[in-house]
This record gives sequence, structure tokens and C-alpha cells, in this order.
Amino acid sequence: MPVLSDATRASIREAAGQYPPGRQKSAVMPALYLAQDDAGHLNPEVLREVAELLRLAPVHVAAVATFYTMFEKAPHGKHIIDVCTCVSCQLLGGYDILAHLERRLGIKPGETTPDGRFTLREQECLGSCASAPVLQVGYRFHEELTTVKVDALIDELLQEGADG
Amino acid sequence: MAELITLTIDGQECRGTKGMTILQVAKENGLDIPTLCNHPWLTTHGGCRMCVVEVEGQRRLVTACAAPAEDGQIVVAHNDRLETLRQMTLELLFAERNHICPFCAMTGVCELQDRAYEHHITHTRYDYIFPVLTPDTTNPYFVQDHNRCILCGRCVRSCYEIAGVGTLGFGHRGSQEVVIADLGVPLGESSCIKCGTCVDVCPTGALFDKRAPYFSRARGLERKPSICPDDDLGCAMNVVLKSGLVARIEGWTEAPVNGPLLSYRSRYEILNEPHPRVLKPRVRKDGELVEVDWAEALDATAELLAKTQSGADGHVVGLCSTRLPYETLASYHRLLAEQCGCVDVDTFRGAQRATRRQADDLYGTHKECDFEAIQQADMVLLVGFDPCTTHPVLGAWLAKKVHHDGVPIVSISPRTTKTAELSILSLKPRRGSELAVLYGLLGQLIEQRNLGHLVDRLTAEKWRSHPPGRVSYEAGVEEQAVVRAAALYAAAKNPVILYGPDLTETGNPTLIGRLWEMAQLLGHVGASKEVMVRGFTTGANSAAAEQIGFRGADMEGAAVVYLLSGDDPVDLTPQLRQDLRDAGAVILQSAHDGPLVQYADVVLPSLKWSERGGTWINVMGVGQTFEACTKAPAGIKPDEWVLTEIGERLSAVKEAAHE
Amino acid sequence: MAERKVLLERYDVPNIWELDVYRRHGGYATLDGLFAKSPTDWVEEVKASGLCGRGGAGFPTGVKWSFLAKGTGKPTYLVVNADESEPGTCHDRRLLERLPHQLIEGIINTCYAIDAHEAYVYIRGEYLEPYQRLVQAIREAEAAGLLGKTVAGQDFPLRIVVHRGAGAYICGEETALLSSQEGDKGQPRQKPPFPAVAGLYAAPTIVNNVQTISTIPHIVRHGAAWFAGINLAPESKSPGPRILSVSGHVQRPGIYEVETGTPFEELLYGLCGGIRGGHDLKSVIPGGSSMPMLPKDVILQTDTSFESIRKAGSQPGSGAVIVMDETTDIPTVVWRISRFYAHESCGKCTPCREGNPWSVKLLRRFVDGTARAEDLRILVEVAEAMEKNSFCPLGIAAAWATQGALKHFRHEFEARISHASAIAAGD
Repeated sequence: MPVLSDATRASIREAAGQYPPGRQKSAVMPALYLAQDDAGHLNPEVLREVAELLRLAPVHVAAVATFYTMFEKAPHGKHIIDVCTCVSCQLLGGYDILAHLERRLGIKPGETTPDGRFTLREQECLGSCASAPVLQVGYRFHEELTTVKVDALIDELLQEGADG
Repeated sequence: MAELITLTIDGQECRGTKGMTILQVAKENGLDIPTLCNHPWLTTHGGCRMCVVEVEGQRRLVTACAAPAEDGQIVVAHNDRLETLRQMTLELLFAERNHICPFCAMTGVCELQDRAYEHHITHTRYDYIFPVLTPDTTNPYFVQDHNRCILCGRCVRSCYEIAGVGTLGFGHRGSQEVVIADLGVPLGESSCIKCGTCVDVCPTGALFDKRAPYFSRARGLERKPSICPDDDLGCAMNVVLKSGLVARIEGWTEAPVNGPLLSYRSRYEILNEPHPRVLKPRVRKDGELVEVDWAEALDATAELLAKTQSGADGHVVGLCSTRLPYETLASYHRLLAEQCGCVDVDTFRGAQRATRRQADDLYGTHKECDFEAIQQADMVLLVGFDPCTTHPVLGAWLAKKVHHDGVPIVSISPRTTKTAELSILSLKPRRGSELAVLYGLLGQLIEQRNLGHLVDRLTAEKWRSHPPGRVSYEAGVEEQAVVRAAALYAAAKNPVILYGPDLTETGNPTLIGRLWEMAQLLGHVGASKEVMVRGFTTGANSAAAEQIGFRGADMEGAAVVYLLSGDDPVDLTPQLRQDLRDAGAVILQSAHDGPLVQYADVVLPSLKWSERGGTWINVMGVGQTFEACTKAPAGIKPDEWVLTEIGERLSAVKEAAHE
Repeated sequence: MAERKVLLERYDVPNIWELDVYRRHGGYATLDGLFAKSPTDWVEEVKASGLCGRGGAGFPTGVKWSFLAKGTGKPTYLVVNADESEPGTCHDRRLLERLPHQLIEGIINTCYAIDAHEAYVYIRGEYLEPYQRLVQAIREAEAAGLLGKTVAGQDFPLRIVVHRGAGAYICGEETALLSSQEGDKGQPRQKPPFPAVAGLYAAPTIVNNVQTISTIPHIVRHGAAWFAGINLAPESKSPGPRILSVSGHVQRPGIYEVETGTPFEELLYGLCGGIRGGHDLKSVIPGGSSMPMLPKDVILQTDTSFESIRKAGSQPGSGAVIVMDETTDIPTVVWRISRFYAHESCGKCTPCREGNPWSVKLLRRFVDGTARAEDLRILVEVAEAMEKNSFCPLGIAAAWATQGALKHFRHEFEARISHASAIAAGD
């Protein structure tokens, strides 16, 4: 039984068509993104289905999925907050931002709040060094942070949840 | 002609040819450059960094395993600076995971250990990391212990490059990297074909044979090549002996057919003996098998065979194993055919050959494809053939074709086959309805490619009378599958059709005829070469049996049945059971005290695979000769000695009768 | 001294990422003259301009193009490296976000010059918004007939495919990028063969960085001589305007496009407004975290030309200038940089895979003040092993960070050796 939707399966096939004939392996990363968007995270059933769709050895898909940090192998919160603490952010208080979020959310990096709203992660350089310190929520940037700005952001995200 | 080059390595002039790496040239000239991730069977990895050397004119160090050797190059492979770097690399490796040698199953035959001794590693200056990693013991034949792994990737490469399956890979990255199977499942639950090539290439104790831990110390090991008696590919292997006993089996680089690749059967199962050996001859007396000496048993055998020669007491039937060497098969055949005047001499599984022969008689002999053609095929049609089960090495080659080149395989078999997992499409007709499927395919071929004019009207009509709907009804396969199978076949430029025991054992030569028709049809319409067909049988020496003249046996009314089974695990079918019960007397020459023994009146000990030498001829006609690897237990005589003795006694009886 | 805005000239134009806005501001004007000259002429033109790759290695772009294998029977590919991940670097992201059409124009120019009909942009996974902008821009260009079966009405088909990375710094290394794009783990490959001979799908391939390709239209438009003249350092062979990402302890961090040879003093104290909070400058990493850091007195004698930075004992790298003031604890910074490399090591080779975690643990002891006397020696040896013996530049870069810091700030490390352990070690 497929675990991915027909639309996702079709998109994966379409992604494979972007690459030269016989190079469908190139579509493994786009396919994993599509599968992840559909299934939330890449559990073994999802990986198996991606392997079948692209006619790849399952281990190949597993190897790729575990190599790259943006492929989620386990369930996570509704909002993933990635805080950069790498050198440029470190110099301008990245760790203070992270510590503030740990206190505010009551979780450590790598953990998810019990209500499933937030997953907090410490990240390597996110490429916003001249606007440090930064974080991303769902890969959208929030820059030149202060603890006040971070609190406002969390309030906004909580509000969004309450509305929805 | 390869271009000759000369380079200097550590001051020594070394010769090689263009295209070789610095490491290869060094080795060929007897110089040692230490390596860990490099292996002659595998592609270059360049990851361990042990083989770094200095090349004059190059700013950075290069890895000898990857760097092309150039004419005039000046290479330094050993100096203090390189030694320090190698020591550091080893120190890093030793701190990484648990490499406490005394507790490792492979201590003594470990390349990491060897390198450490060579480079005087006495301790590591850093805290051991030793992550907690659980050994995986779920594979029946070998253990994977991640604690001993140095992430050299040899197993991963061998799994993909040699075994073709790609079960193993690297999960995660950096220092978190770990070798995984499939989606991270235990090996025993994975797609692993248990060929054991990864165990052969592993430089440490991260992969080791369950049978031989702490046993295979390098000292006192001996290696002798031998052949796997199982299928007709002619797979040769290296038997590793310790004190004259088989310690384990390894891939043999020089094996002409299979290279280092072996199947789980030739590497592991062959070492399992399900029944005790027959150590002494036995003769049935008052309904009981009683141990006797050789003379008595041989006399009894000759007597039984002699009685039937007059024809008064019916005929002798001989059935023999196709695993035996050519010489033994020939002696056996000579004894029965020439000395006993017996016409019913065959092998177990003789039906496989008989069907093919009948097809030859009916439809003429056709060119069969060789391994080369299979390697180059762009489409493979398997009919009644499950190579992944019966011919695992061929199965691995096909897996490679599928995984590396995307070659489509279509499988038609009434059984649930392992090869179906590799197939892009598999059709499972009801047993006995295979012919309908083949007609359906032929019909589709002339339909899809407009080939009606190539065959006569009647034939064309016959084929057209099997439209997919009818095939579906008769054979229980999906209509669309028939259409697609024909389309895949018709689209290929170099397709091959391979059939196997499941087809030949039906005893229906018409099926083979249809395959040849399919081949000819496509040959007419632009397939670049002659489309080729090839049948496979079980038993390593089936081709030799055919050459010698084993031609089929009628068991009906047999007075004496002489079975030479050796160590063949003969499939005791209900029919064979009945035939043996009905026979006047049964002579059994067998290595094992198996289920056949109960039917025997005389039991003669026989050799097992490692004890016999001789010549084997594979399915493509390639002959290979091997010597025995081990000695038979005391008291067991070689099969040929036994056959000669029987022959001599028989002549004596004959002469006595004449006088 | 002001900026020399060439690539960033139109940066602040509202909605410049839209095709018609970009066109109104001179965008795609190069297509008028491009096809009038032969591809070889353009390769020569770029060679003559002296443009050096902006990604990190600084190899002359035109020379790289001329290495392309000919007559292989395989297509030639252009792969644009948009996997900007070098800590401290954030200007390619801005070029992608705001000036995607400048990049597309550069791709068209380049593909014509190297006779490629398929171009791939490998964009860093975390750059979701830039990715969306770029894809949108490609759609617009296709609809406008600038890409597709013909380019601007010329018999020159060109297709651009954007391939998203997924979080792996190593993919910025060109061969790892190609592995990743081919659907493998992003692990570097053995060179030779170089990508220009056997790159993407084993076909001749040019891999250039976003900024490099975005520079091409300006060379096509204004000529090699003009470009070569943008150079304040007469001895420099790496002319042109170059975008630098300045981060850390300056008053005005940001991305700045400056003329080659601009003194760092002017960059830091002029354009960036000096060190924050009235502090004194301590150290600068001039080319991203992979490059050795330089102390104040050295950096202030240095300019932004490749030659000057190299002479000072560092590398121009990705053009990320990370500024540290006197309050900065060097061991802590190096520990954090080292952690980055340990996290990003791909695992292929021993020195990088194992050496980085060693370094992190050792450096942590210096941060915590619990280091043993011998730890400094081991740290130096591990760095040496990584620098000399790593498979690819990642391990080398990781070593440089440590080595640079130890060269100029060794005393800060020595000060962290715990007295107790020093006695125990007999020092």
C-alpha cells in the first residue's frame, strides 16, 4: 500500500523527468523533499516507496536521507526553530538567543515541546552572517535578533496556532 | 600494446604500464605501500589515507591507490614525515571504536592489526571514543560487529560492485557514519543474498564468518581452489584449510567464470552436512543393513549386477549425480553401459537435459548464448527460471544489470521466485499453462511489431488465437502484463531468453520451441544481433554427463538400481521413492547416511565434494580441473577405485560363467 | 573611499527580481551582442579579464573554461554552485534573492561561451526563499523566450534546472556537489579527473560560483579591459569588483562590493563604521571560517587583493570577513569553528572524520581551562594530520582555523592549560 499521495507520487515521477534519461537517481533529493512534505517525516515506509518509485536500492535512499540534515527522520513539532550559533552569530550572541529559547520553550536543542508545537535545534551557519544573530522557522529567516524580538516571534507563532 | 613506463619509488627503478596506479606499480615491483581501504577486487576509495606518498613536483601528498603512475615520476613512499602521518591515521582509527585485539574474532588475520604492528602503534594519546554499537548476528552465516569497523567502505563497494545487490551502504555522516543494510534493518532481515563477499574483503573483524571466529589465524593456513558442485555455472572457490580441515571458503580471484563472487551455498551451505557420513560398506542381511568389509560389499555389488546381465532378471538402471567429476561420471557410465550392457543410465535430474534434447530433435539445434551475451543484454526474459535461487551467481549478475544499467528483467514462472524481486514485471501462470503465456507473447509480438508476414498463416492464426484475454483466462495472469512483457521484449536490441529447471522439468519440449520462435521473430526486426536463448540446469557437471552420453533411464521393471549419489542431496520425489521400492535391488554409493539408505541393499561409502578431484565442464563448455582439498576419512575409498573394483569383479564373474 | 557597485548596482531597485523591472534597468542587454561573437572569443575575453573564481579557490575562470574536454560525444554542463555555506558568507544568498535575473543572464552568457545547453543551479537547501525567487525568475525567462528551445530567438537551446541541496556544507566542494546532484551522498571524488574532463554524469562540466557567473554579464557588456582595470593593487592578478560579507564586531555589518586592492582598514573603519562599542580590533578572518585568522596589526597592513591576503598568511576564500574585537575569546571561537567542521565532515577520509571530533574535544578543554599540557601538542599534530592528509579541502580548512589561531594567539591557549595537569605532566 502506498503511503504517499497520488499527487506526490506523480510529482516525484515528474521530478525524475527533469534529469537526463537514465539519471533518475538525481531525483532522490527532490523526491525526498516531496515525500517529506507529504508524510511529515521520512519513516522507513516512505523511504521504501521513494526507492521503488525511482528504482533505487533502499540503502541508497536511506544513505542520502541520513546524510543531509534537512531530511527529517523522526516526527517533529509543528514549527521547527533552527538557531544559528556558528561563528558570526556566536560573536553577536547566538548562544544567548538559543539559551533564551530553551528557557522560554522549556526544552533543550533537539527536543520538541510536549504540546508538539515547537522543535528547537541548534544549527550550523545559516548564511545570514551580516544580519546576525539569526534563526529560521520553517526555513524562513528571522534576523538581527534580540531576546525581545524572539519573544515576539514565539508569541506570534503561538497566536497563529490559537487562531488555526 | 600498453605503453611501458618507468618511475622511481623510494630510489628503486620500477616498471609498469600506463594506466596503473602508483600503488599497483609498487606492488608489482615488490615494494610495500601500506593500505587499508584499497582492495584489488574493488574500485578505488582513497579514504583511509594510509597510502599517501610524496611525488616530486606535486605540492600536496597523493594517495598511491588513486594517483596514476607516470613515466619518470619520482615517488617517496617511506620517510619520517609519511610515517608520522600514517601513525596518526592509525591512532585516530584505534581511538574511534573498540579495537581491543585480544577480544576480536579476527585477531591474527586483521589488516588494521598488521598495520598497527608495522607502524609501532603502542597506545593512543587520546581518550577512546568507543560508541556503544551492537553487533548484528541476525545473518545465519556471518556477524557484523560495528565496533571493529573502520569505515573503509570495502564491504559497501563489494556489495554493489561484485554482488550487485547494494544491500550495504553508509548511513549518516562524519564520525556518526555507520554501515547500514537497506533502510537500517538487521542483516538477517535485509535484501542481503549472503554471498559473503563483504566478509572476504573486510580488513578487520567487523565482518566475520560465524563458523571460523578465533580460528583462522594467519599461521598455518593453506588455500586450495575447488569448484562449487551446485549449479552448472562452474563457480570456483578458494578452500581455506587449517590442519587439513576446511576452515572456511573464500572467493578466488582467479576463478575463470565467477571471479571472487560466490553464492551462500558454495561458501556456507556446502559446509553443512545434514547427515552423518557413511564410513563403512553395508549389505542388507535378513532385512537389516549390516556393516561388512569392502571385499564383501564389492562382491555383493558385482553379484547383483551380474545376475541381471543375462536379461533373465530384468535390467539394470543407473542414476548418478551430476556433481561428480568428468572422470567419475565416465567410469560409471562405462561400467554400466559397457560392462553391464545397461541402456538406462542417467543422472538425477535427467529430465532437465532430456527436455532440451527433445526440443533439439523437434525443432533443430539453435545457437545458445554465452555469458558475454548475457553481460551485454539490454533485456532479459526468464522462463521457468529463478536464478537467484538455483544459480545465485547468475542472479547476482542480473541484479547488477538491473541496478547498474537499469536493464529490464521479465520473469515468467509458475513459482513465486526470488528473482521476481529484481524483475520489472513478473508473470505467474498457473502450473501447466506456461504454453498459453508463450503463445500469448508470440501473438502480441506479431501484433505489436506487425510481423504476421514472417510466419505461415496457420502458425500466425494459432498465435493470434491467444489474445491477452484468453491468456489471462487460461493462465491466470493479467492481460496488461502480457502486453507489457511483449512490448519490453520487442523494444530491446540485445535481449536474451534464459530458461531453467522449472521449464525443463515439465518435460515439455514445445515450451523451448516457442522460446526459439520468439528469438527468431525478433531477430528479423532489427534486434542488432541474433537473439539468443540459453538453458540452465542444476548440478555442476550436467554438460559433461551430456557429452559422456547419459541419455535417460526407464525405471519401470528395474531389477537392480545402482545409485551413485556421492554427497548430492537427491530430491527423493514420490516417484523415485516408488521406483526404488519396486526395484529388485538397490545399490547405493553415497557419502551420507541420508534418506536413500533405507532403500538400499548394498551401501558403498563415497567421497564428498572436498575429497574428490577431477574435471568439471560448465554450461558454456568451460572445463576446469581441480585436485582434492581434503583427505577422506580412513576406510573410505575413492569412487573410481570402487567402480574399477566392481568392474574387475564383474569381468571375473563373466569369465567364470564362460568357463 | 566608497563601494564599487557593479553586481550590486541595481540591488536596491524595488522588485528588481522581476523580469520587466530587471530589463528596464539594462537587464539582458548582453544578449544583443553575445551571439555576434564566437564562443571561443568569449572564453578569451573572460581569460583576458583576469576574473578569478569567487567561490573559494580563486582559480582564473576563463582558464577553467578552456580546460573543457572537447569531442567527448557527451554534452557539456554548467553547474552553478549556489551552495553558499562557508561560515561568515551571505552574499550569494542576496544575489539570488534580489538579482536572480543577473544570474540567469550570466548563465546564458556562460553557456554560450562553453557550448552548454543544460545548466544546473545547485542551491543550498536552507535557502528556501532564494530558491523560490530563482525558480520564479526562470519561469519568467522561459515565458519571455530567454530560455527554452531558443534563447532570444537564437538557435541556441538552453534549459536551467534548479537542484536543492538539503543541509551539507561539504556540497560546496565541487566534486561533492556533483555527487550530490547525481543523487549520491555529497562526498568528494578523486581528482583527476577534473570536472572539466569528467564532471556531472561523467561529462565535461564547469562548476562556477553564483558571484562568478553573475559577474560574466558585466564583462560581456563592458569588456575585459574595463574589468581588468578595476584594481587598486597594481601587482594583483585578481582584478574586478568583489563582494565581501562583513560580519561580527563592526558597527555596520553587511555585504560590500569593493574594488580589488581596497585596504582592509578602509573596509572596516570606513565602510563598516569601525569596531562596535568603541572597542579595539583583535583579529579578522578574511575569507570565511576555513581560512586562517590574522591579528589586527597584520590585517591592517593588508588589502582585499588575493595576493595581499595570501602574502599575509591567509586566503581570500569565499570573501567572508569575520571581525573580532578585543573582547573575543579566541579558543572559544576556534572551538566553535571546529565544531562546525566536525558536524560537516562527510566521513570519507580518516583524518577529517576522526581528527575533527578530536580537535573539538581538545579545544573544549581550552575553553573550559581544563587542558593538559600535552593537549596543545596533540592539537597541533591532529591539525597537521588533517591539513596534510585530508581527502578534500574541508579537512584542510578545519586545520587552518586551528593553525591560524595558534600561530597568532598561542598565548591564549597556553594560558588555559590547567596548573594541576601541568604539574601532573611534569611541565
